[in-house]
Amino acid sequence: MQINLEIVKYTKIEDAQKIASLNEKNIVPDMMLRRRLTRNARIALYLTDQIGSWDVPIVIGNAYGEVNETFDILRAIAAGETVSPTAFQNSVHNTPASYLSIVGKNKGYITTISDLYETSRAILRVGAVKSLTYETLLLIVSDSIDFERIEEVNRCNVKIMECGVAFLVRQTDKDATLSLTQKSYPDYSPSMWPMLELFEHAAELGEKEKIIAIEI
Amino acid sequence: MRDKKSKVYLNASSCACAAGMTIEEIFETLLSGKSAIVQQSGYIDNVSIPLGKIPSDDDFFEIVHANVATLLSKAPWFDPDETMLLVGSSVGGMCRAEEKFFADGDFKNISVEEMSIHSIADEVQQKFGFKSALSFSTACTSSSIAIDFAYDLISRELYKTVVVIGADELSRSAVNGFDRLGIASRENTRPFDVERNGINVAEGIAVLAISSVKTVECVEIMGCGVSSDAYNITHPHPEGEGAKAAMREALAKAGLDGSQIGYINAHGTGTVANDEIESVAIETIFGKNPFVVSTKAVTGHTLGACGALEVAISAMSILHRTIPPCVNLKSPINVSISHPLTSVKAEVNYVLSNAFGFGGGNVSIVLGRPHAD
Repeated sequence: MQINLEIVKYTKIEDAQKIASLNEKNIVPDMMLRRRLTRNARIALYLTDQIGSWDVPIVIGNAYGEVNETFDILRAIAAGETVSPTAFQNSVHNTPASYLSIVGKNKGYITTISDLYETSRAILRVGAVKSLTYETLLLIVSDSIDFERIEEVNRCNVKIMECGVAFLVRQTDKDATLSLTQKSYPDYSPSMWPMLELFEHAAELGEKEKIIAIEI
Repeated sequence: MRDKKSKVYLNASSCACAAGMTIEEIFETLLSGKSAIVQQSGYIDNVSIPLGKIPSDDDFFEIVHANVATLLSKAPWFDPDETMLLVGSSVGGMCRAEEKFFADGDFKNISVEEMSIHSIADEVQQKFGFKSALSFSTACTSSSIAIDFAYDLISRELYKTVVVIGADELSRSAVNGFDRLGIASRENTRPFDVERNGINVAEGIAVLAISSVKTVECVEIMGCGVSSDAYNITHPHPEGEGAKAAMREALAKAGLDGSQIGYINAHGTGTVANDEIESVAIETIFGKNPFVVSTKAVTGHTLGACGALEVAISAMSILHRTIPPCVNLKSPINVSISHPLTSVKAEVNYVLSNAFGFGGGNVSIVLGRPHAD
């Protein structure tokens, strides 16, 4: 079964190490809230701001979760120290989704997917099914894996430590104008690949209609 | 393509938690009114804390696999080759990462595949050959949001059969984290009691067979409601607006009004904040009519597994026409809602099950007794 999605808007951001500016001060004026944001949350907020649709249903995903916060908890327990409450509350996979809801005052459907290397494809599949219920949806994938022990786990030799891609989509009965070829992007986490390829194709199409068939 | 077509049925379940190794055993424990929470050491340094631990020495993932095998024997028409697998988990393979990190002091012997949220789906898919798999991780609503997605897949006839797994293992990270947030009770949890002082962290597994096929012993999944509080990372909206929105949406999708719900399996974590707002939200929408119970007093809070586990428990209430009691409840915080203190025999036709989570996510699910053909 296939569902066709029209890409209405799209955006991407990345950095080999750490994205220098994610416009946090403008997007989250409340300093206390801003200071608590995780890296994935900052990326998700930036992408949403670029798309400009804060109050739509959201399907968001990341492969590895909040690695800095998770490591902070493990390190504290191993050292016999107390766990930081902020690290704990920010360690769940849906932390970016929660900040999107709080900052964007979004009271609707928001879900978080984590399918490791298939995360991008999973977001597209869940988004396609949910497009049968909701008029437009925001689909976001991000991963921030820049933490102090990254060399111990980076066996894919990923070079881009922070990356995020977002699409505003809606269901359509029109024929597909682009397709995914399972292209590899060796410098990036495999969790990003299908949405990176979709971004690339969407950019190539310029002003033309961008429609993709998603296999459920 | 946007029109819904099929009804959605929960055909069978297979579960394990502190209260038992089968859904039948768990339901029996719930009816007995005895908590399965036991003091445990080894999770917080030099402290013993009441937790809900599955009564088995087997590896957690092996228990998940055993429950999937049991489910497939209960629903033999489920062909894994044609079935979507949906997993809801907030911890995934975290315990494996903990074990190796605490032993080695580094991550060199940890594979990302083993420790990821998707590890449960990945290993079950490999072992049983499910057509496809997706993993949801939305904290304590993880498996509820998976059920909502299963509802879409079946009702829109995208799949005929879906298996939902809710699974979360007791991890030191979670126990220490909840303790540091000040919401892990040092006593057995007392949901909806004026003296309540927090949750009992627990582990649990619930595997559900969901399809468009009406079987002899099934319940209908009539509607799901999903909302976000847009308020705070750990505190629910003070007026319970998100909880109300999820419950109202679930009722609307089920085509019911609040007066038709006979039993609410509440999220009822035993925290000051959750139980206060949930009781107000329930009173606002349902009044005193439905029996309101938190089964977490017996099972503990199984985190991402709780939604699927409590849907399985709710289905048992419909099928066995019995509502379990509120355990450890002495002085209710809200006398305007009905908490049964002993199990109640009742012709329950419609049940609502709530799950709320960190970050303000809310999911409500309405189950119903299928109409006779």
